[in-house]
Amino acid sequence: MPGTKKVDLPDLDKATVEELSEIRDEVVRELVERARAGRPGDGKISGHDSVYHDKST
Amino acid sequence: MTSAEMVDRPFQASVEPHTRWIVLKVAQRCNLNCTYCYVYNRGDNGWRQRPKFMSPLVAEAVAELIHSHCLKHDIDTFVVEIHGGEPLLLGPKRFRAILDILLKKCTSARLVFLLQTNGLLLNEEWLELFARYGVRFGVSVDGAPERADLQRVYSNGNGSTQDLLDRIAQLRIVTPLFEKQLSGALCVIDPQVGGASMIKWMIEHDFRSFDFLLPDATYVNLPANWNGPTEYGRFLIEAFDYWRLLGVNAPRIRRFELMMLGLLGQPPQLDSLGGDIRSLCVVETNGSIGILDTLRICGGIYATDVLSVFDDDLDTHSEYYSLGRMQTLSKKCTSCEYLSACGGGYLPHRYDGDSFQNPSLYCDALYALADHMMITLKDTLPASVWA
Repeated sequence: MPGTKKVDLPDLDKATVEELSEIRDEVVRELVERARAGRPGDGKISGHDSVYHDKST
Repeated sequence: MTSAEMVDRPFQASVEPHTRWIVLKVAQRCNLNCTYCYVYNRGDNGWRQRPKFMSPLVAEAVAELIHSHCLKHDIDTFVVEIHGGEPLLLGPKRFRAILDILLKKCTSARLVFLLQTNGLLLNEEWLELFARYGVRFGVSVDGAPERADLQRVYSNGNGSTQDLLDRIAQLRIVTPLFEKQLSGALCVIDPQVGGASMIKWMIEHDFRSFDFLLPDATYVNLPANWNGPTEYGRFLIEAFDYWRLLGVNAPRIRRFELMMLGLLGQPPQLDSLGGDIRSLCVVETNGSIGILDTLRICGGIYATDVLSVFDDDLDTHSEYYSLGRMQTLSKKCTSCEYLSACGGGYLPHRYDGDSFQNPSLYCDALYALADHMMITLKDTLPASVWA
């Protein structure tokens, strides 16, 4: 049931670069790399549901 | 960033964001009549009263507003999303004229042009225009005709998907510009289709970047054939598991990537996953300035044309519609451990006819997906990140 339990979200800063590079799941590893490369934001929109936009382009 | 900071971020409203993204409804009509469309078939008939196409006069007013707005707020990049109806109904000549006006008058910021189309009018001329003006486009496709054409129909009721697939196949043969200018595809979820088979179909048809959209709806304007959110959760989880199994061959799937990135500490980037809608406005063909277009299915004030490019500026809508207050999350959301994944869901999905301060209509599906993602992260991330 949503909202009934509390779990800790991961903190990537607590892992070494070596540990993160050894993640064996390709999809997760790529996302971890993107998360670590990402800049802190303010939550403003950089995507709109009604248009497909790839920020990397 | 700590987990507490991540959870807080989606509803922080300490900084008033300025508009950085404008949706230009350059064509008010469409050559399709998709059954789920928020413009035509979810209760808002505002399109009937507006001009079919955006005039140069409106485009000039928009251009001047963007120019002065970016100058005033020191904005160096501004997104212009070209939308409709079906934007290609505008025709190449009017399209060029509008983009030329924007580029000529908006010299204070770099303009990024995006466009979403049903693809049925795409041809080499359009693709050359996109390349010339740097327009990146998305195409709407819902999968195999057998199911997709129950929704994606012409006004005579006939399905459109095979026509789209034939057109795309032809364009891929004759020009590299289709792939070069294509950002990806939008696919509205049909819960009767398996998530894995949907991804397989997209890959088989050479779509390597796409998103799965939840049908536009509210608590008082439910999706067609609504049986609750569970079947949407089932679709998403099945799709997510299949996506991961593809490993290095996995396509880009926006919803999965952004929800996972939310769980990994990135702020919300998409309006439907908690991005602040105060930084986006919509301009209709008559020059009216509105809020997030899909909110028109909520009716009332959200479906009226009040503000105008001729009288107001690009931040007026935020205060007029109380967008900060509108985005206040429900208690259930603020206490949810996975808020950083879904951001509370899309605003229209939170509307109960009176307030937006509710969990998403699709909350159980989003929660189940986020929980499933968290299990994946627990299984794959090193132990040190949980310390």
